[in-house]
Amino acid sequence: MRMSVLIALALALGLAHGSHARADVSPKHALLLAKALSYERRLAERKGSSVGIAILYAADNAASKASAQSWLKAFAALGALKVHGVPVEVVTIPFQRERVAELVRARGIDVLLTCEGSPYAMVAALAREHRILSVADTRAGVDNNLSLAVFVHREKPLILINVRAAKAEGAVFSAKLLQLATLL
Amino acid sequence: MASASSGTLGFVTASMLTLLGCNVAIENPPAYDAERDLCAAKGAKEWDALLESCREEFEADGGCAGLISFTGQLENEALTVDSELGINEFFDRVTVDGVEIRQQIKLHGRSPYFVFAFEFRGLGGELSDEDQQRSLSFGSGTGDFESLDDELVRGALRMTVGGETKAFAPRRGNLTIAHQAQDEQSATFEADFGTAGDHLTGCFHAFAPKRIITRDTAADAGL
Amino acid sequence: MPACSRRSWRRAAPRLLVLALIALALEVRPAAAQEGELDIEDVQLDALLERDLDEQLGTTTAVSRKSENVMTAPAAMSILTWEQIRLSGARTVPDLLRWIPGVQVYRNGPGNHVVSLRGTGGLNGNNVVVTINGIAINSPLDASVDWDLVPVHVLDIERIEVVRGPVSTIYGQNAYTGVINIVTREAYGRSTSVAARGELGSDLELGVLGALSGRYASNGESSQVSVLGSGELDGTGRGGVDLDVPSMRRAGVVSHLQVATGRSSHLGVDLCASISERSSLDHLVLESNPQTRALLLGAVHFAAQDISDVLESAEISARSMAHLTETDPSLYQGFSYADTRSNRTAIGADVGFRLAPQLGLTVGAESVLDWVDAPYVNPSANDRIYPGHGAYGTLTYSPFERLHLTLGGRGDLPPATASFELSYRGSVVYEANAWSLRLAAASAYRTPSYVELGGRFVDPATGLILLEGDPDLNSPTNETIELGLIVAPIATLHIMPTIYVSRLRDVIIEDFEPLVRRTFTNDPHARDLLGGELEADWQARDDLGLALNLGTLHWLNADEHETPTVGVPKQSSAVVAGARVHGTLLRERVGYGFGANFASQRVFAVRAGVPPSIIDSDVAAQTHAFAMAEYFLGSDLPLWLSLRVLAALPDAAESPLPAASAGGATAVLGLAYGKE
Repeated sequence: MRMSVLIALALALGLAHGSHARADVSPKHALLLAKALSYERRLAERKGSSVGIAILYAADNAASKASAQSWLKAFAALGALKVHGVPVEVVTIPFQRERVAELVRARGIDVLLTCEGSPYAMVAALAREHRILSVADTRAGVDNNLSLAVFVHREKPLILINVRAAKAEGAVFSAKLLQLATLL
Repeated sequence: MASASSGTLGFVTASMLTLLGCNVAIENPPAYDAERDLCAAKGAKEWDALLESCREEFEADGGCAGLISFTGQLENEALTVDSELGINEFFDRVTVDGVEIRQQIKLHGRSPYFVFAFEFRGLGGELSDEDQQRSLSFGSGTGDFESLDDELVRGALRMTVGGETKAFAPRRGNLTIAHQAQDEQSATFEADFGTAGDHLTGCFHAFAPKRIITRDTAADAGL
Repeated sequence: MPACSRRSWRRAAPRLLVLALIALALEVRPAAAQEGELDIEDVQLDALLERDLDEQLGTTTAVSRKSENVMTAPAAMSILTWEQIRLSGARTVPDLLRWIPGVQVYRNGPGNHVVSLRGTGGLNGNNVVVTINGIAINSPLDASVDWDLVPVHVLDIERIEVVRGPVSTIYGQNAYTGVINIVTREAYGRSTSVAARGELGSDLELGVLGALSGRYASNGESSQVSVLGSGELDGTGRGGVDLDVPSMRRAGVVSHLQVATGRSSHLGVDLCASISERSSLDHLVLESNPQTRALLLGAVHFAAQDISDVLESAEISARSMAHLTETDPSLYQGFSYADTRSNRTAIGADVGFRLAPQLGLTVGAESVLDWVDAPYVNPSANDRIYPGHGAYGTLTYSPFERLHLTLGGRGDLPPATASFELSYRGSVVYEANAWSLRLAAASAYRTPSYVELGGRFVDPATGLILLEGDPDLNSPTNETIELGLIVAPIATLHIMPTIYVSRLRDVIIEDFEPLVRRTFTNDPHARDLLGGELEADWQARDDLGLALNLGTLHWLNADEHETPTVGVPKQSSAVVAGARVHGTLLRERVGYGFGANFASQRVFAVRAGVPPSIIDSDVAAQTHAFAMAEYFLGSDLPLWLSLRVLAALPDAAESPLPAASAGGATAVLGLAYGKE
């Protein structure tokens, strides 16, 4: 009980700090994404020694790159985070289909976190091919068949799930999350 | 039983009524509403016709042992009953001198809600084929209501339904005997019962295939 | 401080702050994680989503037939969510309702339950409107509810909403003490959901229980469809006084189709069919013989939202329900419901206006056609169609953001009566961030049933009328004032106390004292009831929840008249309380629940049966305990194994009716496939 209150307080401060510094990703978003991942049953079953998150960005898009850096920092601010009992490892990579595919195979990536500017359709195809989860940082991503998005909507954090896309990627979300998330 | 399909036209009609805003209340009047007060003056012709038909039936095969009708209030409920009588019992006494006196009668009938038995004890009076107008009083006083020599009578009304029986005793009122023959008895009555407001008036004409006769002996006569 | 150091400090500050707070928090759970580690399991989703109390409580359409926040709704209500249902161990909807404050449930036999809300309902439970997805399933004959005809398996119920208190302004007749709405499960988002499950169980007398159920639900771009089916055999809990209490066999199907016809309009079609054979025991039939009942229900509605700036919503609907009871009268020594058929068909319209940003108005009207055909209804009243009409209006006004006023009224010409019934509702709700206070007053009525109005029960052996209805009966009314509070002292703890006073007038009593004519009459004496309800839910962690429910009744004016009636005060327990725990382990691989529900002793005398006889009842205090666990095998083959153990203590009948059977103890194994 006390933990969740303190975490929420910390996150609120983090958001406040974040909003003063830049209108960008705060540690709360990262924590919310991690929480959403904790309700994905297949991830619980297939994870290895870690949950790998690859943050994808468009190399020729400064805003996309900045967003990726922002996500990286947000995760870093959380310190040693565990999801499904294993550590979360986060890397950034400019989107290039073969390179990302190689990264997925080599590093055991479980989640493709796609920053705006990246080609959503290709990311979705990659996720389905490798049966891993695709995540967006805006609604546009979910509208374009990525599975999940975490963002702020009307000053409140929101989880948006494209259930059909998630199913195509082999993801199985717990009913508890589906009841609280906004579903497409 | 009518099927749902037979109500189709009624359904359409009711739909129209619905659109017109009509509202239909359920009809479920007490079954007493369909009963007749045969003793009332306006019913006299009906009574005579029914009695004649009943007599024919009784003489043919013993069915229809008479008629009874009463109306009023009992247990705070307004009621009217008309019923054919079932197997009646006449209890008579024959004196040493051969005079036949009626001791008591039991009448059985039914209403829509209960079967009943009327019992009148201590009637007295000789049997005769002549009509008469002999009035006896109901009551719960100290008189000997079993005596046959006075003008008092003890009455009882027992009702039975669903395995439950209740008995009512008339406290005040009169029983006026119009005819008292060997196998026929007719009278009118009116009486108050125990509960305030409970009052019945009625009439009956009974035939009896069965008389229970008690004969006085010389010892009974004190000889 | 050097500029680079100041920049470094600003960059490091948030992480240090977070780590500091985490470190502090970690002191509470020293064994949970290593220093500096944060396990996501220790973080609550509600906190991350910053859900306020009103968001946590959610919205409902049960109170006003319009979506509104539970926190500001003008009536007390309780909601059981799917997870709570799944981990409650309950196998039937009445078992679920035991966890609602103010509700009392008792079981006559397998599949034969009576549910009473707020002290009324007596022996036939006809004071509550029960709906499936908003469509009422009460019998047109006497408004009773056949819980075995609810065609949905409990695990296919998304949510149960219970509105406690009079709600006739919205639902018309018979919403005397509340409304129970069963919302069936649908697919999540645009997807298809399939589930199938089987159950097998037994009680200590080796009575067998078996059930099969399944669900298909699909949400497309512009349509939603769901079909839910279930079948069950329940031979458990037949022990006790009469070991020949029949088992229950039932089957049912519910289907729902909704098609978008425009940007914000849709057409919906609902179909329900259900058939059941179970014990006939009830307050008029005191024998326990097999009896078959069937329900067929169809409904169509068209709804549109945001039609214009002023016209917020519009809906037209039509529904028809047929109800049938059949039995073999030769099995009975007394009265039975053989050859009973009834139908209720209704059309309605509802329009919502936004007159001003703070002012809303809803108006509506409904016309009903009832048809009843039964051998125990007076032939002059039988097999006829009875129309009824109702019109209502509700005004909602929020002069300030936190203050909500509601005023509603409804006028009805109920079927088969020549009366005009008026019901009203008024409420003031003040809403703060972590609490809301509700003061409400409402009235409701119950239309006398076709049995009470037009019944004529004739003894087949003698031809005598054993019991007769009275067409001039007044409708019993319930006027209630209540004060309710919803408070969250901490974000994850909800406490909802309610206190109310009700005046019941014209209660219908079975006046069986006179032998001259046995009928129903209105009690000339009003009955006053003081009641209290408490509901508390604590989501201690995402994977652990605790719930408490408490209801208490106190009749203010003693029943001076010893004429036992259908709705005697002491028929309901003075205290009903329950506590349960539900949670998950191993990252939701395992689910569990356990708890107990207590109902205090009931001592009363009542007339029941045809012909009526006095039953002296002394029902001991009852406790129902349960424990359940379920295990999820894995996503590759989404199978769930479950074990439920339910026990009624003592092992004695909790129903006052003779020939009722005891509940006993039952264990049920279940296997389910699909996304649960």
